[in-house]
Amino acid sequence: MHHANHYYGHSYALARYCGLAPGVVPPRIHGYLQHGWNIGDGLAPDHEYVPGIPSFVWSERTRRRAWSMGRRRVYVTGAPLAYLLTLTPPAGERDGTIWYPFHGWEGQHVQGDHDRLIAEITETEPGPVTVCLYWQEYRTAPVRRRYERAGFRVICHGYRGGWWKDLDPGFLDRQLAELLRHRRVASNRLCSAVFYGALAGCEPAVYGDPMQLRDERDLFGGRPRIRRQWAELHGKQVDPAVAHAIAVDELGADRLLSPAELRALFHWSSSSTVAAA
Amino acid sequence: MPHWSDRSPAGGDALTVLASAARGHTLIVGPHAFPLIDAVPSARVTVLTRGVPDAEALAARYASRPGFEVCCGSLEKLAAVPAYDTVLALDGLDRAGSTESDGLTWADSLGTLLAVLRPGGRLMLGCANPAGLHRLLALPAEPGDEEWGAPAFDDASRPVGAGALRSALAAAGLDVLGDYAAYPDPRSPRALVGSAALRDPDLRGFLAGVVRRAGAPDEPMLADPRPVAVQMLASDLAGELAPGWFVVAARGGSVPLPDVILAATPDVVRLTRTARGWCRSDLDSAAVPVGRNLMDALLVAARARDLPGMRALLTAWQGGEFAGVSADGIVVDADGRLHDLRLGAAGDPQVALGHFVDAAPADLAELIAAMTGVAPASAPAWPGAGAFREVAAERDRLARELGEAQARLDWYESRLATRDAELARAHRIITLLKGTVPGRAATAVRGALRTGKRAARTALHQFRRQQR
Repeated sequence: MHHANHYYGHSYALARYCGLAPGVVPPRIHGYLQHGWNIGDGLAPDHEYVPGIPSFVWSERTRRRAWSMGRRRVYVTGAPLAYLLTLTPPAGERDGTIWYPFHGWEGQHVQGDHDRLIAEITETEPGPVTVCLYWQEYRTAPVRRRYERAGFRVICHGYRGGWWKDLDPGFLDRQLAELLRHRRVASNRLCSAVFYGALAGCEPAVYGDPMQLRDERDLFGGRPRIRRQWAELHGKQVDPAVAHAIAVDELGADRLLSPAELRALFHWSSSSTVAAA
Repeated sequence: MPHWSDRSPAGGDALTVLASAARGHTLIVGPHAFPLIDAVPSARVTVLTRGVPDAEALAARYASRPGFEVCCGSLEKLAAVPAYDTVLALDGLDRAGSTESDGLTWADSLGTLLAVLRPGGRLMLGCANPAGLHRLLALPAEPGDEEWGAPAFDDASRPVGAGALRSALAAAGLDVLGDYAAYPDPRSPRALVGSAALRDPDLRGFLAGVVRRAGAPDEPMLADPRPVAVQMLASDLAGELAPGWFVVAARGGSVPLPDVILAATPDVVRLTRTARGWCRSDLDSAAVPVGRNLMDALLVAARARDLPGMRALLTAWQGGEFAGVSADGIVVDADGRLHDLRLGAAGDPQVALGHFVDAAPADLAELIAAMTGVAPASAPAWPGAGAFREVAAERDRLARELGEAQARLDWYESRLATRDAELARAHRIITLLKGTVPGRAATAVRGALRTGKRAARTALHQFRRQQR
């Protein structure tokens, strides 16, 4: 129903959880699926709310917020990564840190000092560092090389997907696999990846120059509010137990639906053969 | 909450009287209207609100008031330090949490307020009644944007009665210094009636006027709540079924507040119990007249179609000095004398009579006008509540009247048809009669007479001309 439902392979992961045929394009989700952690109503800022179309959000807190903003038919499903985690065997040996520098999305430009950030990562992280870049930065050779020259392993989970084009069913699997092999997860901004890592058992950290998007607007209280409300998750050393509890809360990992419930909510019947739309 | 602003804050002149009893460092929790905050006489005031736009509006308005502080956030974030001499939560405890928290229960919220109250401090608290008159007569409605959590009335820790509210405060070690039933709206009541006043049968006439004057809420309801409220007074249910309650509590002491407060024009009506009985503290301690409320006495007579009784009351009222006072502001004593309750300024007798006509059975309107010699003001002076029960009754009346009019029309038509038939029969008889021998003879005679009459008229005409 909405192209963003297929971002990061989210719909594929949920289709697998629901027992639908793996690999094929999942049927249409009848509603809008939250695809990233945010402090508003769960919808992307550029997504127009359409009355009557359900939203599937990650947390009870997001549902309350959405309701207060006039949204109705809001259901807490939890984050797709939390479902994927239930399908994944426990982590083996963990080592080092996976670091997610704050990135812009298509058409956005990050302004900040990568070298200073690299210096701070080197100074802080005790073990080997994997830097995960967004595909835009990964394909920008000067940026990628800077991180490589610092001795970091530089990876990219893939392309999140366009308007029903170039969809990447394995994005979330790759991300989870990387998180499960690292002991720490860090970023210069509190974001989905940090929560994912905390849920997957990593020690999270948020530090360093948070960088700036060109013409960035602070919606719903923006960065000052995030620092205030989730103060426990900011810093180089964060209590992993507290972080895990918060991640469970924010990703709705304690509210996951059964495959049958999810299929009912998404209008995914066994006879559903409608291609992704 | 950066995006949130609370609508319809606690307010109104009646609550202003309570707010003015705050003292010392005062904490105001939840949405309160500016005039209510203005009425707090304390030098140090802290307001806690959950919406950023509301906090900004408060900060802007009170920027120049020294000792004024605005906090924004959820109640549970309030530091549990006993820092306040008065805590004012007249909006209740339902709008003190934000979307970011799971929501405190009512009991937890009360505990938080008590934790910030200094020993000897004063708590003024509002509480909507889950079984209040406003809910009994409410139209079904979809939950609004502020109901993102479970409905407040589903909270098991919440008091379900006036007694339970007092018990909750007593259990916390507080003495209830004043408790009020609030009408007609739990957030912005126009009347506050203390429990001692509700218990006194001598005040029934006065209180009937108070609850009627408090009027109907501004939103559409199933029915006009005023007659039901008056019945609740008589049934000793006006406290238990009030839309809301307000309590003033502290550990010992007393508070100089009236027992009954009515927001009226031009002044707030205040009633206080003294050693001499019930006195009007807004009117130089004038005593309160005892008797039946005239509006109720008139309605009883009207409903019983007791025309002599109604005429006697109407004559005494509209022929006397209180003709401009609405009937609900008057009591009739045991001797039949009328007394003005002084619940507001007197006005036009036509308007005053109109209030009674609006409340009385509709078929008596013309009779009442004839009895008083006054045509009541046609438009209701108090705008109707858009009450659906009244609208339905009005529709039924109009349907009945339309049916009656149609029946009359049918009857007229049938009479007309009968007359037509009789006329046609008469014409037929005449035609038949004309065809008989006597009939033809009569026609010939009549023709000859007409000819003779014409000839005579012509001759007379010519004769007169010659005479000139």
